[in-house]
Amino acid sequence: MASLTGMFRKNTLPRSFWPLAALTLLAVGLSIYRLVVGLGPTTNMSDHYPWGIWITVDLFLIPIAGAAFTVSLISFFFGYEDYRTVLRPAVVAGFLGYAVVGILLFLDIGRWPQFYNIFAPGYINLHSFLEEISLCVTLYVIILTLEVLPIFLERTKWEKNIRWIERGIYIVAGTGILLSTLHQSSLGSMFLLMTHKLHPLWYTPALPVLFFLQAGYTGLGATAIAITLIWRSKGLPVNRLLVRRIGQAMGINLLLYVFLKIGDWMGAGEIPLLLKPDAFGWIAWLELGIGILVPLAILFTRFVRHSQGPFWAGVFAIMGTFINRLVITWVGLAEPSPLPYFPSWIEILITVGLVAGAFLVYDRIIYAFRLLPEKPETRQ
Amino acid sequence: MSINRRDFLKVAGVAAGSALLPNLTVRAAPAAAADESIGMLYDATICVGCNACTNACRDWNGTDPEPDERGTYDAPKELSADTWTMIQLYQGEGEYSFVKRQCMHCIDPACVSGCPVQALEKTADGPVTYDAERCIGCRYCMYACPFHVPRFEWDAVIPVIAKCTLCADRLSQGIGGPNCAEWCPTGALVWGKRANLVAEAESRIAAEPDRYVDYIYGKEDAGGTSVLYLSGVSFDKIGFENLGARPIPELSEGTANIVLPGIILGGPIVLGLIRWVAKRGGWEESWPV
Amino acid sequence: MINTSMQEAIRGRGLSRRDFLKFCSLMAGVLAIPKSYAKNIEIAMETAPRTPIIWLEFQDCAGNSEALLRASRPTVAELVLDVLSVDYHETIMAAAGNLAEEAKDAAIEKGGYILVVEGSIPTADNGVYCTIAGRSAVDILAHAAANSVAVIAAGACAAFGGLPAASPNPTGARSVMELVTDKPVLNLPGCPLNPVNLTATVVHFLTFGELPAMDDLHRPLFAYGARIHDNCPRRGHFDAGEFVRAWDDEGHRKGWCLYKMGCKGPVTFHNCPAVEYNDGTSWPIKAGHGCIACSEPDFWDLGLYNQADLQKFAPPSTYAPVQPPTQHIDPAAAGLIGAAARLVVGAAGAAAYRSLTKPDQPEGSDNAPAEKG
Repeated sequence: MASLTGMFRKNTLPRSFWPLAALTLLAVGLSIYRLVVGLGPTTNMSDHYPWGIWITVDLFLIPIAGAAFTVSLISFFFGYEDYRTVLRPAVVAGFLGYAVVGILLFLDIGRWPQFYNIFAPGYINLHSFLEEISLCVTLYVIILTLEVLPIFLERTKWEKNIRWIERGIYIVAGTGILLSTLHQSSLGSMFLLMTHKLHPLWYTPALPVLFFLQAGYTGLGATAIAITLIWRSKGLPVNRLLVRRIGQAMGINLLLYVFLKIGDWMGAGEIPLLLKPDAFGWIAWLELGIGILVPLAILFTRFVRHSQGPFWAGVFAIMGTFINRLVITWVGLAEPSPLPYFPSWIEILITVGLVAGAFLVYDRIIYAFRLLPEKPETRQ
Repeated sequence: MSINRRDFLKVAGVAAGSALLPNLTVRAAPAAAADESIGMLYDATICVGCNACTNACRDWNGTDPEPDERGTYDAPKELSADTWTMIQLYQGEGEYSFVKRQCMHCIDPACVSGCPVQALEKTADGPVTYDAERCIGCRYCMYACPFHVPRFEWDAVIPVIAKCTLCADRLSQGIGGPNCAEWCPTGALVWGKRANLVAEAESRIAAEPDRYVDYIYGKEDAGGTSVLYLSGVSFDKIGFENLGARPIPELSEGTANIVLPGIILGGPIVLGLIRWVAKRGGWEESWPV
Repeated sequence: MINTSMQEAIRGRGLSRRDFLKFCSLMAGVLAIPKSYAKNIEIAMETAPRTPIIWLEFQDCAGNSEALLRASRPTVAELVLDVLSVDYHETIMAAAGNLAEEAKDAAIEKGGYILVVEGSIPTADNGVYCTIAGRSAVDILAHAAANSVAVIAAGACAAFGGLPAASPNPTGARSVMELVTDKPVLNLPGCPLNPVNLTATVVHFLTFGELPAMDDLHRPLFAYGARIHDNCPRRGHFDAGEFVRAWDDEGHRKGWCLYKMGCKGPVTFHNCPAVEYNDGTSWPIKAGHGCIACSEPDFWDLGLYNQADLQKFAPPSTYAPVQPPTQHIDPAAAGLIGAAARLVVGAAGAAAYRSLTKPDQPEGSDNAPAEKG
């Protein structure tokens, strides 16, 4: 067990620390610059593309950070106790993911000095899915903080002060799951207003359900990736059964998703659009192939029993989710504009830097705190 | 395809899916009240493209002109934070039409439904107004609007959303109607009670059926708008999509009405049920491969 | 006098050669022909014999004659009147009565003259509403036109009927081109006509031996080829939507567009903005009143303060086009992202294939059944 003070001692730092730290610092500087000079000079967003890469990244990070939610659901409620092994890394990853999302959203909103209006009682519009997301995400970050606190405070003098969290963990975790269900689906509901803007292959009244299922399998994929990598980096053998179980849960989610998605296309008579040789037909096939068919091909064949199987299924599923969110928040929205949007270098650097910062912090937390059991646990 | 999307979602048996679909009969149509409120009627066949409306708008709202490349004329290319209304031109084979762009002041506006902090509001007078004190600058209204109207002050450090207000201040203070309609030299733009405007538009079409496309855009489109359009060329050519007669926020708000209580009330029960089943026998692993 | 060249007539008036050359290049300007043609004009003017003119007045106010004559200094118009041999003009000639009629008949006998008509010709009731020396205007016109080389209808009345022909037109007033069909007729409408345009037409005739190119209303294109609106000094205000809404309002004092006050500039073809009236002193729009379309047919019936109907004119291309919304994919961005995506997916695919097809290393602490991958 490494000590807290050893966190930044030179010989404990990984080689990637300094480049990541440089990127993070740069992002912090650029973020301050953006807040001082405004959105126009720093981003390429315009009246026709009012949401840029930050929103795309937000909508991509939230399902990945959904790892915390899927793992708590499976471990606390479906009764798979062995998932608790990965609960801590997942919750901390979720917390960091939401932190990045929160910072990006704060940078994204134009009138940031009065962001607190989102929580002002007389202002809240419960019909707005954006408001619902804002409230849910805020509450969920509080829940995640509660779930994360024991990790940081155990073996300290505050440990007994937070016992109540452990005792009420089912209520805490259950609230977190409900809040996640709400906001993961609300991310999709947010686009229900864009009936006539979102490309028909992606627009459907079932968007909330699709987003919810997608968050499920993307979060599980991220978990599979994370634990494989963490165990590897610590030189520990992978708990193959656990990883496979995660892969199986992911497979069920994926099946539901693809059933709903293709059924929805058929129900709406949009199959001809899929066969049209335009950019969007291709993108839809790409998304379907990379994000769904390849993971399914891994998870429903003997590859699922391979120690690397769920890892790679997760990688491809996440790429598919990225394509999906890219289309829905960016290229799939119809605008009367001759100038398509492409992010400015400031937008890109801030995004990259913040994600780098999250990795950095995660790495140090893994180093300093007890995220994983000292020895891999075995199923009882 | 014999089943439609709704049927599929029901048949699919995805419980959440069906529950999320809104009950479309729940929402009351506010169109009746809107008929008594203020609106505008724009007749593209009378408009001569003189831009008096653009200028009148600038006068009243104090927005800056957007000069062309040579800096000679005020020549906005599209709506912007500084241009709340403007004239565009459609030129086709042997036909052309001017078309005025501004906020349509929907009776059931998507921007108002989407705004998280109620910064946008549909007032009883008719206008859809904006309150910068509430706004957080999230720009959801810009995406929500089916007419691509709200604009953002990109160059400002603390920007505001900018769009036509139907001169709500003039209406509420009794100064007069929207400044653009007051200044229109040809009478292509008139203002008044929406019901009267609909009647006027109908009588114009009846009097000269050859002059007009037999359609009043905004009478029912997107649940009805306070700004109505008459045109001599088909509306899709002058940039008005067929949005259907249902209000845009219907699906979204219907979903919200079901999802929020559904998950908050039903969620714990489902979680408890899952837990109960798990405790009783657990979920057996059975994987095909 | 008939054989005296213009050069001599000019010298006789005491004009310098410099004035003469200035006149020649002015004419080239008005006629909208290249400045190099000033030399041709100069030669034609110096050598051409003075062309005889017969000027007839019917239902008119002599306004066009006045416009030609009432100048504050020796003008190009005066100059041309001097160099032209005006053999008959009721307003300015010294002769009267039978003497005058004889002079006219003699000139008509001789032929080769240009006939200028001012005023409309009444045709109702056998033309009794305008008779000179017992002959109706219809007869006089037919007689005078027969031997002419060309007919110029000077002013709105002669060109399109003008005020006498305004509704209900009790005298059955007709324009010259309706009555003279066997001779080339050139209309110089305007109320009054701009003398510069008459001079330029004559100069063109003398220089090139033919009448200038005309539009379908027989108006010379050099003077009536563009709308007032196209060259209006207040055009910027029209484009900016800045309109006078009442006489003497703020906009009027600022010199804004007069369209809303009934200005017919957008539907009127004339070169007023370029040449102005009274030797370039001013013209209606400059003076603060809208154009009344005096060079267009039936302008009295348009309603002085009614707004012009602009619908029949094609709009200029300066308006922003309507842009229907579509999903845009920037080709450059798409290429970039596509290449990156191919790289990532390809690399991931290859790595996945390699690691998944490699037999799994059995791991000690993994209690799952060992499998061969």
